[in-house]
Amino acid sequence: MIVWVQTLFETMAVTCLALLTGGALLSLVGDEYKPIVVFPHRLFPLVTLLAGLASFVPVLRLVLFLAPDTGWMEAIRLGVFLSRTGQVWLGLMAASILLALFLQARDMTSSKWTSGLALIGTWMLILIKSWMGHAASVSGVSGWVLHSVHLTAVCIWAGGLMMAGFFTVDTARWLSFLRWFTPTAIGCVTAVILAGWGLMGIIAPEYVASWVLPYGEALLIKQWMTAGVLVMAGVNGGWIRRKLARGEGVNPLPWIRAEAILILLVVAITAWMSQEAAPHTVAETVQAVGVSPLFEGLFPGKWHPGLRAEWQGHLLGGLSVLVALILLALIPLLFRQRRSAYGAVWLAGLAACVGFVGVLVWAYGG
Amino acid sequence: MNRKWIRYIGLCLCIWLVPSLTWAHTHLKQSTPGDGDTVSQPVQKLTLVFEERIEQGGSVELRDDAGHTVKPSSVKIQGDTLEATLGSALPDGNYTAQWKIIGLDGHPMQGSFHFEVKAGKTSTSQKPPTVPKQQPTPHHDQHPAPVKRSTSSPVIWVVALLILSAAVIVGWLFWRKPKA
Repeated sequence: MIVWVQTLFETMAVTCLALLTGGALLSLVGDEYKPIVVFPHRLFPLVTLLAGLASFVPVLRLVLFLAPDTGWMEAIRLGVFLSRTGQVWLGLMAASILLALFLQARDMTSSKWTSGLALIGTWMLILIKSWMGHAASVSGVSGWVLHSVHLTAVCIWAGGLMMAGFFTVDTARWLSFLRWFTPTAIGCVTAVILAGWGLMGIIAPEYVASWVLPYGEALLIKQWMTAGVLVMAGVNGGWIRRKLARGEGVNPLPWIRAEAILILLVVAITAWMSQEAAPHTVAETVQAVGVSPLFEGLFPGKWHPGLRAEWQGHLLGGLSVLVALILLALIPLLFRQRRSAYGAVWLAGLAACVGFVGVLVWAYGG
Repeated sequence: MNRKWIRYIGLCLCIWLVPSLTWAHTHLKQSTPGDGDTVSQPVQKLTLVFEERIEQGGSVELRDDAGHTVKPSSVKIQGDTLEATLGSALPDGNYTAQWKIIGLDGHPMQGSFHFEVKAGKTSTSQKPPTVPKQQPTPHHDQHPAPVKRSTSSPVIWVVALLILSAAVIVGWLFWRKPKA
């Protein structure tokens, strides 16, 4: 139960940070480089506070864990004030209150100074938030740096997309927006993938073997989902841009929104993963937490300590992977035939499911 | 520009290549008495050593076969070690120690281990005459060789279902009239 609550709130916290980053970034660039955006006045103080509040769940989890043994007062003292997680959260909360007060007093869009300060403040929140994560707690500064790079890049990319997608009233200068946002997004994607790859090396060195654990499975689904996001990004940053440059009438907003929704789904999977046992050594982790129910359901009684992937070229696995790739390839076709952009969310989600099962079958047979 | 990227990739590689970085949740590394031990000395202290530093607030509780619980009189946590002092030496019997801790990564963990005390000190409580108890299983025996079950894998059905739903969704997306 608390796992789902935490997933929901963690997704919300990252979304809030992304909205703040995107808002500050769009306020900072000159009017000639962006479509007309209208941000609701109360939005920024609200999401700033929410970013801090929504990060409370890991601390709450500790307090709930301790309370039966120690009583509530002691559990709160230990969980909130004495644990590392609690202390970092207090810092995050303090910083988010300060930033919220600032954004309440000064409208973020009012001057370059305020939007610049807001951007720096948001980045501070991102850095503190990364300090709360696993990476920093266990592998120290290197884990923290990687996590920060990962989160910052996601916030710039997703935040820019969401703000431009959901708060623009007019797409007149869309092309000049894409001219700087596309390279920015490509940079962010590169950073996300590199930092994610670095984190993966720490968390899941036995990558293939980790597919018997919930964490490894979520990672694989996330990677398939990311493939869908990248196809969408190709449509948005490449095809739509070319069409606009040629002066063909096309409405980019639904496509941008669909891409933002896909990224949020990936963020949600990541939020869920952050609570699962990370599979550093798979055999040990399985002994501690057991094989994932999903793996046990697909391959009943298959797991044993010496289990290795076979890559036996299982027909069913290969077929599923092929179907997943076809589903991804249909996304540009949706655009070409001027069909609903939100269909792409379905296609990408389905491709992730089919591709996930396909890879598992490919690796572990029928 | 290029140099910056090379530096960045280099940094990532360095971090990636650093070995010995564990990132699993904090498990119990060893304990005194150990899991499955039979102790002939009076037991008045439990020492639990974890894989990593742990937070304040951990606890351990003993339960004997009759279901009586023994709470330690004091618990001290320092670094990766939890030390529980018992009010008095444990009477002979089988015990399950249940621990709850918070790892440095903020994740609550719990687990248990078993041991037997045979110090010649009998319980003062009115325990029934000793019935041959099942020996607690030592830790490394807890995972016997896998039993090959003949359950057939539902993979083919799962794949069939997924491909069917893919067909339905693709049909639904592409057969409708496109927007003008």
